[in-house]
Amino acid sequence: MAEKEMTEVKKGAPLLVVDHLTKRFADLTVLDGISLTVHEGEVIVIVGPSGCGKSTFLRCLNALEDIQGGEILLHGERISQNNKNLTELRQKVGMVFQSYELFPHLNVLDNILLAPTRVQKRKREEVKEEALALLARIGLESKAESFPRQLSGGQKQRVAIIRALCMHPEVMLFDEVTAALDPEMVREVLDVILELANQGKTMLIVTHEMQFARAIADRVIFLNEGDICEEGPPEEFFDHPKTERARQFLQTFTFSRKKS
Amino acid sequence: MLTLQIGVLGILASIAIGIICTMIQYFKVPIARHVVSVYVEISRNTPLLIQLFFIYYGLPKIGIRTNPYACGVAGLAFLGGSYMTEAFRSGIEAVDRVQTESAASLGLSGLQILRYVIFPQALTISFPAFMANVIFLLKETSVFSAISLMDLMFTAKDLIGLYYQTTESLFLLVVFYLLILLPVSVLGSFIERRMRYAGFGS
Repeated sequence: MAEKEMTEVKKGAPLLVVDHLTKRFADLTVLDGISLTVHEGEVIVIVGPSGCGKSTFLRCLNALEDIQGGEILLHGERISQNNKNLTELRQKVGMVFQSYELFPHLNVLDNILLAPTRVQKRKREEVKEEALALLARIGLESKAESFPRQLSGGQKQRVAIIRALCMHPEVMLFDEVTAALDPEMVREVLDVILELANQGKTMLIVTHEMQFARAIADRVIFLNEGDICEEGPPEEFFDHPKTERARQFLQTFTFSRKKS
Repeated sequence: MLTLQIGVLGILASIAIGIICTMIQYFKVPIARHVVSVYVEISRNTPLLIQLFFIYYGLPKIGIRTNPYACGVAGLAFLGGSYMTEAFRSGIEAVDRVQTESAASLGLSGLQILRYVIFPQALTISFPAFMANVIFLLKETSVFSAISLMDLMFTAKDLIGLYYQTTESLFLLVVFYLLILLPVSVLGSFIERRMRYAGFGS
């Protein structure tokens, strides 16, 4: 996993700008004025203790949550639930969920083709070719006609990634995509995401896989109590965390046993 | 035959009402959704016989002319509409909210989500309840004799009056109802099995 070139210049123009984003559920402030600029081709990994607002943050970026303050701009266009072009904006922001969320009544191919053909009105044959090529890359071309219930969790999640990719989004959001998987299936999903990173896809990834975070991230964001507590390159964050809170958090991932 | 005819028409009408009411509730149309809830409660919590009397004897009083046939269909539709609404609603509610979100994240509009993602799943889920309603409504046609429609029940009573052969007539009545309902029931389970086979049980 470590073969990713660190010297590679990954930062392009700013693509997604989050400015003082605030999200409240009734009295509870989940996100407290978060600001973040995502550059083209950048891979950002968001980590943090449960309940810190990581998932909510991602969901806001796709306007699945309404926001109470601040703004989110993609190429300067505002992402909010009130935007009339919301469906168009959402096409530019792909999202993969923890629970896969393939459509159970459609087979793999139709799951992938639904949005490109119905929303983008692209020709079925053309998208089908693309979808099959992508399925072949992840070794699932033989499953094109299978229904989601016939697939393993890891296979479902990889199909879900392809489904989002076929819309040609400019940013991909991954919301704890391996959290529901058996350990031996985690790898196959992470490998797909790693390959996307190498292709230069812009991605925001929420994960609990610290090894993976370290390998894939250009920048790690440590979220705590609804705000960015610390951010920086993965080496710096994992080896020399600046804040006490981050040190505590990272400690929960290391195990040691006192032997006398 | 009249039983079947009114039954089919009434059921078709109640499906239409059910779909419309469910759409209103799904899209949370202001005002209309409250009208729908009131309608559903009234129609489900009053007996069909009373509803029929209201339509048959009540409507002419406010100047709407009716005939027994139209009343039968209207009564069945009024009752069935709410049952169908509830069946469809339970189907739609059974589809996980994240399904909607994942479809939305792909850029599907509200209507597209309903049509391509929610509706096909809801249909399969609500089908057993839907079939139960169809059978229930067909059986309910037996009260139509009360508004002088020549349905099966009416005919049976007629025959009893003519020939005094109560047991035989009632026996035939049961047989005829079974003749109508058993095929419907069998067809229902058949379709249900086919639907399940075609794609569910994630």
